[in-house]
Amino acid sequence: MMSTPKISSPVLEAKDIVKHFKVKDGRVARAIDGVSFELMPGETLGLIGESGCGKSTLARVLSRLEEPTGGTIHIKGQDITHLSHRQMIPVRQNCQMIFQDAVSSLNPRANAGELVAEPLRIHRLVPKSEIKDRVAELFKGVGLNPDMMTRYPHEMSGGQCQRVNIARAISLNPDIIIADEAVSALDVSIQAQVINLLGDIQSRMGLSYIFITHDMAVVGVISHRIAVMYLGKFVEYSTKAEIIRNPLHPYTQALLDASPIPNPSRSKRQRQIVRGELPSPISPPSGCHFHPRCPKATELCKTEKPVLREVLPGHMVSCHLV
Amino acid sequence: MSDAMVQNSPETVQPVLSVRNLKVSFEGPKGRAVAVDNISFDVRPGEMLALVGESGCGKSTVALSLMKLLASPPAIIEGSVYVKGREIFNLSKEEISKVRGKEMAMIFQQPMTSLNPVLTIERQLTEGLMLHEGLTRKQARERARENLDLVGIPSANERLNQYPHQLSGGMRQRVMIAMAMSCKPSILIADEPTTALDVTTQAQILALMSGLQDEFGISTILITHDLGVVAETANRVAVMYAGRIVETATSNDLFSNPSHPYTRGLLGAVPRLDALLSGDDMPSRLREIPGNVPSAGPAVPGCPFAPRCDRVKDRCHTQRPTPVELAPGHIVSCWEYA
Amino acid sequence: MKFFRLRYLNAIIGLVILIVIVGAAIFAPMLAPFSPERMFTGPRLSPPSWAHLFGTDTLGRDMFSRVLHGARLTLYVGFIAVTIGVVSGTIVGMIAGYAVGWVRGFLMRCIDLLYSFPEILVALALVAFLGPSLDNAMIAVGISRTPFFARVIYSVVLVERSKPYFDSGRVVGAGPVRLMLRYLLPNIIPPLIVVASLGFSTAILAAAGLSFIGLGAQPPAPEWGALLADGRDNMRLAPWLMLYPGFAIILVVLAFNLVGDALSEYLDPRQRWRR
Repeated sequence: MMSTPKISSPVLEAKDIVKHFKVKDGRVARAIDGVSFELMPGETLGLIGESGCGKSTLARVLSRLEEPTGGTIHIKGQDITHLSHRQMIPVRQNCQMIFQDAVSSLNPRANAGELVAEPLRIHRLVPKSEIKDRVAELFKGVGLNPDMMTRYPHEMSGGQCQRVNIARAISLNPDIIIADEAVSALDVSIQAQVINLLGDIQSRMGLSYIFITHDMAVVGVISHRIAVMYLGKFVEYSTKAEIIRNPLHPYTQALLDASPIPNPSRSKRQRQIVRGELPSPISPPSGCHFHPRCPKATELCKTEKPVLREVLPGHMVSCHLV
Repeated sequence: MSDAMVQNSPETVQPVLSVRNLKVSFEGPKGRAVAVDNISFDVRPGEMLALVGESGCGKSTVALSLMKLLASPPAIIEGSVYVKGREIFNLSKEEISKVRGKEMAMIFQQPMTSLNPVLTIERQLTEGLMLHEGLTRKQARERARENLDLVGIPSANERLNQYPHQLSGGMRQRVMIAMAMSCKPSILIADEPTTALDVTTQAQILALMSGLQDEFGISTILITHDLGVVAETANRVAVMYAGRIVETATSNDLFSNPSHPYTRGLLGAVPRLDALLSGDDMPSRLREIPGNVPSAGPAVPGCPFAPRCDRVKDRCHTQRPTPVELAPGHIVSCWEYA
Repeated sequence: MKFFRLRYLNAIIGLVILIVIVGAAIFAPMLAPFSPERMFTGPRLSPPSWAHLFGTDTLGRDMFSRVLHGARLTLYVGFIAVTIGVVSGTIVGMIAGYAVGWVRGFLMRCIDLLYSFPEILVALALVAFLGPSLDNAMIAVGISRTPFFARVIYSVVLVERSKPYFDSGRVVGAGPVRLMLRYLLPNIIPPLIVVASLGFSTAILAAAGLSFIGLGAQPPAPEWGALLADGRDNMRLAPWLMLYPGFAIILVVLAFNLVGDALSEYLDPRQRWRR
């Protein structure tokens, strides 16, 4: 768009993203409350948090399915924050999305072949005569037999549908794929297939993922960097090794502690179970949003909002106690 | 054949629940689909047995048929179930509902759909007590309050006057457990009780269930797809695949020495935090089980896992594997060991 | 055995009646013993007999032939009126459901405004404006039904566009036309068929009502509502003049309602997977 991007410039840049929803009686829910990050080429950013923390809303804002209330989004240097629906259409080639519910995110009235061909037709990327070959190629690329082209979504399993969704997404050769709980609803054996497939596609095509999930183990396998979200904010943000092996925020520690481990000798360990549940984003707690549940909370945490700051090289935490 | 599946425990305690040759099938447009294929297992007093498997393996069907909650027809249920030595499948409707209230209780994945949205928590908690135990309204309310305390719901008096939609998902599941506990059952069947919950809430609910198991000696059947949850809470595990139990073992044995190819495959496929926490490099790939998860269909003559198995032999396709006891209480149905 | 369950039975009864009526309409010229407009085929106002199954009217026309031919008019009126209503209702409802902001607000307020008048009043006003004739009655009935169809389609569209596949279409860059024609329209067809088949009966009733008060079919057209109006003067003397067309209207309305109910049950996905 503008100057030629350098090799190391981010493919996606989100700055101070805010998304408020009006709820009844005039109050607002602060679904996203000031989130900034950069996504590098070929990188996977894992976004982890519990339901209601704003991670799915963030995905929808980044892909401009929702209008952001504040902040800016740049994709490959282009400001897309306020583009109209029509202006967004060419941008969509660069940024694709995969959803949790594999079956119902496919138009039930179209068959698998049409579904994968659709993005090619919309963006006129391939001459009409070559579409069929290209679709067959994409099918093979996601591990589907091209014979499946005539199947309708309800005639396929969840795993097969998710492969069709992935084929649709990569058909446009995007730089970014946002995957919103894309493997959460799949069975363990199928989940492993899809996680590996996403990894293979990344090394083949060099694209970046924003991978949203509630599962610490999944995010630990697939990500390069991990951001932990709590009530609309990043509370910790670093490389996966740092987040998993050296978690600094009490909430990250709680998430890791609570994640079940399929190993009885490890899991019968004494662990601290965090109390309470995620508060409402309509009336968040004062000070640090996590303080009512935090085992280490002090008086300061009740009054003063912590800011996200770099405490170790490349390790950002928003906690007074670190 | 089924007798080999039965636990040969050294101390011969009478199981609270015995299931023998349970078979559940559905008459469908494409012929008879077998959801549960001739399974037998025991639940001993005070233990938590996990039934683990992927979607469509029949684990929930087992739970529903044990509670006689499966509409029949269309379901065809065969076999026998003994609760404290008493066969219950031949009982009349009234007697079954008595067993359901006194001996067995069930909690579900979606507490919202199993709670009545237009009744207060008090009404839902006291109804069973007044019906089964003949308590007065006041006594029942007192008991309901105690039950809410028991499941760790703070300010129980206020909660009693609230409606289900005013509670969070975790609170609703606690109410469901309080309801299930209200008649002090000997068996609790929990069908994916934490699947819809967040991990921190899940940890709370699992801790609560383990606590109740220890405190009251309740036997629990935990139905789940999550091997992590199994390792955290269960004493014994039965792995199900395509309507059959393919491996039974204590939790420690199963995870340290998984013997059925499917169990090994599952443990390899699940992303493991413990593998990420230790070791020099963090894995970024998982081991796959090729193929698709089968859906209920006509019963196969051989081993249902054969099409996806990496050690398949000819006989796997034609002959049903016989259960083999590898170690005391560790039973595998696989031709590799026969 | 399954075949005789109540809801299948209802659907089958409705379907049989419908086939009989449609058959009567198609083969009316062959089945009718007389031309519907030929006068003095027998004595005037003669009661039903073997020669005149449904009797004759004041001009000695054979009522059986008139009712048979009336089926053609009635079905035709219903079909055109429903088509006008469904097509315009779908366009309005779909745009209102797809659009956000002021477009939706404007369209829905217009629909609400029209919907707040009794439909027959809207139809009356339209016929008064267009002039009484069967064609104008069809148009009037169709237009007066539009708000109803638009509201139904609007609510269905709202449900569909909140499903993930709609977002998935937006994400790959589908524009408004594709989203409406390829995504929404095919997925609202099942409920569309249901409301259309149920709407048939209302449209027929409304058109018959207009004809009855002289604003629809004009004599000597044997539309059933018009036949009822004709028979009104001699209601005491010759009750069969009203009995048979009235019964025919009841039958066709009943048939469409039964078929519509069965369709709605069959096409409702929540019902379908239960089988």
